[in-house]
Amino acid sequence: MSVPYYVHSDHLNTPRKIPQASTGTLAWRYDADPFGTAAPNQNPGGLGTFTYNLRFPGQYYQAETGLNQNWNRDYDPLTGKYIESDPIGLRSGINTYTYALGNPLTDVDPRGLDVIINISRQGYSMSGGTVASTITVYSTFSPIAPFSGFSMENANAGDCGCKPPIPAGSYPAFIRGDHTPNRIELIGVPGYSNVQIHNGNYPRNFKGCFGVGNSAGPDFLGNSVPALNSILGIINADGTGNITVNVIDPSPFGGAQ
Amino acid sequence: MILIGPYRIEIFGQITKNTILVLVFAICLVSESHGNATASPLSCKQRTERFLHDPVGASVEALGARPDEDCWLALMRSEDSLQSLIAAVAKGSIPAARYLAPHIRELDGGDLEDADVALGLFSMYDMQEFMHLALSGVITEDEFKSALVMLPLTLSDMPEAQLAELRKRRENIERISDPALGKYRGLGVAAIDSSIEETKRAMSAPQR
Repeated sequence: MSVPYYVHSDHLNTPRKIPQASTGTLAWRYDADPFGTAAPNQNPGGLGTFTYNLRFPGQYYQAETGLNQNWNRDYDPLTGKYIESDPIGLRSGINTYTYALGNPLTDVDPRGLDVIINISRQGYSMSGGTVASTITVYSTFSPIAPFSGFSMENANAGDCGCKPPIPAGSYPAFIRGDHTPNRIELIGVPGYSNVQIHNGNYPRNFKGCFGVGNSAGPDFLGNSVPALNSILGIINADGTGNITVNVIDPSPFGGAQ
Repeated sequence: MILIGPYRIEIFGQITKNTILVLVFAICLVSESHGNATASPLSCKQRTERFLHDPVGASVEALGARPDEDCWLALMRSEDSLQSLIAAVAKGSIPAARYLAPHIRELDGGDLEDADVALGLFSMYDMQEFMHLALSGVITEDEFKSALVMLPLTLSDMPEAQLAELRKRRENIERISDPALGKYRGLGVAAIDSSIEETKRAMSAPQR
């Protein structure tokens, strides 16, 4: 008879704890440091060895090699780096072996070869009307400089104004070319459609999308068009067409607040 | 048909004139029958295409006696068609606005925002018609207020232009004197005033 378990993940969707659903006894625990160098505890609750091979988003642990397979490359948790150089060589920057720009507390690289857009939520604004975030964008394929700026969501999205902020998670995305500037549209957001990253200054400009800006104030984004154009520039320079948007909730471990 | 005749005469010299006439008559019958087939009820796709080809001149009835859900779903599934409809609304097409308005609540995310912006632009062409959409319950009060203050994103980062546009909308709505629309006149002015204040606050607030 199969026994159900719950998988608890952290703000980056890295699995951290797996308790048995019926008793709550921990069957598996992963307390690894930011680069994932420690092995998981496969029997913290005395239930017997529990094997679970998912690691950082997009990574699958291979017991035979001790490496985490990350789609296009293999990640060595002992060194916190990929064992293969970036497939395009030095064009990806000085260090072609780093994971998530060497910042695994806030960034993830689910495919190992993508434009990564990390929207790290800071929390609700004072008015409660918006969710403020920082946004970082980088390419694992092009040496173009990363972008750092601000993002904002309407806390009351949808036509009814009754939809909560979109669920945290990792979503593939594509460029919507039917607006100027272009927009970035997320795919497969549960319960939402046409979730986009676009320009705009006020909460009323967003009813289920993310705004971006180079500056931010209370319930406000400034210089939004230049910010969006910077992001689109990174995507164009990357040229792979692979875009991953990570929507990251505030860290329970004291990271982004 | 005219072309066929001479070719047949040249290639098949033995074919008589009567035979050719019979052939022509037969072709006409086939043609007539085909014509009837195309005159049969148009599919949603065809009606939608016809409507979007001329959304200003066409009536919303072109989409069917009662624009049915199937047609709307077909339109909504095609991002190109939906954006064409939204563009028609933004350009002031009354039939397009009447068709889009009751379906706004079925949109989400960027498409919903685009539709709101388009209805706001439509109000600048025909504020009275826009207010009647609210009065008749086609759009809710919240949708009415939201569309009025959803400015085109081409005005992003230009607070002075945003204020100018909001003031124009305020003037337009204040011109409406129909007593039946009094409630929506008040709601609209209040929503616009609130957005004007929000814009002014943002201009003076410290930023990170």
